[in-house]
Amino acid sequence: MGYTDFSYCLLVLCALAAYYILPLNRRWTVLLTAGIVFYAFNDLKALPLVLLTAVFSFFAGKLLGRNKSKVLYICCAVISALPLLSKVILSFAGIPFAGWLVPLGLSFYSLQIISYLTDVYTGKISPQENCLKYILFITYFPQIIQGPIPRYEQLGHQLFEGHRFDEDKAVRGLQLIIWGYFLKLMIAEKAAPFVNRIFADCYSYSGIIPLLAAALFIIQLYADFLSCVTLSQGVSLLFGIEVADNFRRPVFAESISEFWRRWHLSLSHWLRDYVYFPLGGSRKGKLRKYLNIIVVFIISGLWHGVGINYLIWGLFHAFCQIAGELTMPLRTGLCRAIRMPALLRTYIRRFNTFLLVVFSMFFFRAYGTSAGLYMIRSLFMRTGSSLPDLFSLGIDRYDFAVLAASLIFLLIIETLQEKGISVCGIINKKPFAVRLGIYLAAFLVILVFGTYGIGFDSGQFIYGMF
Amino acid sequence: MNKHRLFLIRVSVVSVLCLLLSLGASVILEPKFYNDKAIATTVTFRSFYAMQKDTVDVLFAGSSHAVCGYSPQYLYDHFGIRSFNLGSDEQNMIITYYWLKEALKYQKPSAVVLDTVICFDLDIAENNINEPSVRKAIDPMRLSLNKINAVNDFVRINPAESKLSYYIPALRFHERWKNLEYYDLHFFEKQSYDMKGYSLLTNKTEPFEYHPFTVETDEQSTMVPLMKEYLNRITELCSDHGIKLILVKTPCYQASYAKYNTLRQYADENGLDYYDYNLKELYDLINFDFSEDMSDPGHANVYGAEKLTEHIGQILSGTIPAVEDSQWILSRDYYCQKKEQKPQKDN
Repeated sequence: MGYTDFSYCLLVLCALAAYYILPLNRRWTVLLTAGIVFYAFNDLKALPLVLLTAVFSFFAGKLLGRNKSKVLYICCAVISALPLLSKVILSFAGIPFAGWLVPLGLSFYSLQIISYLTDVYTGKISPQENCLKYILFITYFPQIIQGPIPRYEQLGHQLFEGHRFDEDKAVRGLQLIIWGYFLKLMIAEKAAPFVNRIFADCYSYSGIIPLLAAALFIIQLYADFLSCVTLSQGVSLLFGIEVADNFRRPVFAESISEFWRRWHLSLSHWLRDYVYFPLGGSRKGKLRKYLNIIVVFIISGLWHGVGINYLIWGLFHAFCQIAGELTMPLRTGLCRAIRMPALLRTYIRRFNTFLLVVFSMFFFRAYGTSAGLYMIRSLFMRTGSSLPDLFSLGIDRYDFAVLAASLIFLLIIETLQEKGISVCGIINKKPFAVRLGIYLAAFLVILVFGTYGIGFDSGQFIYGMF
Repeated sequence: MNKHRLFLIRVSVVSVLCLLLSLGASVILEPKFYNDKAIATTVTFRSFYAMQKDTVDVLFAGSSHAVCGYSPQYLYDHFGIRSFNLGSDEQNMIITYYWLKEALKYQKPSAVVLDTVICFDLDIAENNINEPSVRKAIDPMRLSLNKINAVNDFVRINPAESKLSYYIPALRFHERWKNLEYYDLHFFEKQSYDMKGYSLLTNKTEPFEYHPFTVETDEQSTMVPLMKEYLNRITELCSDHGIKLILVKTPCYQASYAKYNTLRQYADENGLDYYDYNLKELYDLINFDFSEDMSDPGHANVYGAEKLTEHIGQILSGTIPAVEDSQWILSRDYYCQKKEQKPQKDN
């Protein structure tokens, strides 16, 4: 039962009906039941482990609420994160492990639990007293597979207090659901066949093809992850629940450090609050700050996947961030010296940042470090594959055209959002007939031009694998 | 409360319009096998629904071998027997079973003539269930319990398929926007229903080495279990409705004595008639000539079809009385015209 499946729509509809029928103070039980059902449908074997971890961390939280022992806190956090740690260690050791040991959404809910325990330990929040409510917080179904990683103080109370039906939120939710489907089926899934083909057979291509594959992969990854979060936000709004944004238009980032202030915000904030700041952040001198950045990105790399290539990817981002900061005065001085217009400078910086992120994808997406290195080398090699073959590499010319049009549309929407213009707000001010026309047109475009159905696995999301 | 009700009404309106849009898009996007194709499957099933109720006495069923092998017009013109050919490309036994069930809602046939090539592994797809062929036959079926059961069975067998897409075909065929054909945009153009499911081919096969069985053997072939399961259901269905089920195998390169033995045994065990025209005795009896009567090594042309139909007519004429029916009388000229046309084959 993926987030784009019909069965998921049915689950949401049933949950909505039950949610608004029950009295306000019982409505959270519907979300809990839906969460368990959703998880059971997706990963029944792993459900006991998820529940066990949740129950353990619930009691650990209660204990930490009374006893602020650091040792106890570390023990509780480590035990709660044991499945995640086991996965990392066993994978690095090359030891095979059972599927139930790696439940769906493990990387997300493990960080969620650690943040909960840490916040209880530091006294930022009070521990939840009701075990079932806590399990709901961990298994909240619209976001358990692919995040964002919620904070208890932001999400918890929203889940537990019953919401009255709010038409404005519901409309916004439905708009977000349509937008989520657009991102998933018109961009992420459209780009996937090309990306999959080139990375799977990376030794056969050179020149611009690998570069295009890496560029399309970052676009695919962004659209895929954003769509999942958007769907999660949309479905949550139908229940009156606000899920935090996880992206802030990363295409406008002018440096790698800004990129991480716009990309996967819940992870970036988690790493900042629970790793970077506790390590001293930038308060203990430049050298220590850079070391902290390296540590943060090593953890980020390992969180994304087990393999040297993920470590290299993390280190590359750390290096770019540090180098960017060190060379900032030099670059600023140079721009002033040649009197580069501010707008041009902005575009160049955005383009450079995009290129650096694309470059890092050779390590992130390739099947191993040597494959990634080969793809980088192949950028400068001249072999058989060239542009005329472009349309035979998984996406035909029609789908390329649809993808290009969708990307232009996404860019327009994000440009408007960057300027503080709410597209939903504009639509909502239109008469019903116009809105109806927009919704139906969007539906028809996605229905006809989207990539889904037999041969495509549009029910899966890339970040669900991490 | 009123505000909420208005919102619900608006959402319902949008949902209904989306559904209508999907169905409208499906009309354009679903593949159409009209009379411009060698086997006009879409026309076959539409024309079946267009037949007057309780007028069909014999149903032919099976794969393309049956579609090209049995001419309802010939059967009527020579024996006065009213028949319809419900066969379709690679029609597997599951399709046949559900289409027979569907057909029985509209007609009361006395006999069903079923080609058996699909009972054995044809190397076309796992269990001989080729998704495009399934869609060709199931998509034109009216929404009914039979369709729902058929869809459930196919999706159970192949979970990669989507149930919903059988009811909203645009979900399956949306990629066809890239290569729409003439009839996709002219879907409303009237098609002739005169062939009654039969595919009339006039060309003759390229030289092909074929010999009817002469050497007897005790060997047996194994039926695809799923095909056998549904063949059993077909047998039961016909038995329950008092329909005479006749198993046949038209001349073709895939036939073998071992397959004949298996079906012979099946027919004997179930009290069915079985005619394999690849047996030399039968092949000679109907005066079949592979090089003259086949369109290709698998499918009979009109000359072969008339010989095969003639034989079935002789078998059935004793039990099914001749009846005058304008549905077959009015289609005679069209059939003759098609027969006179120069050989052409496309699909």
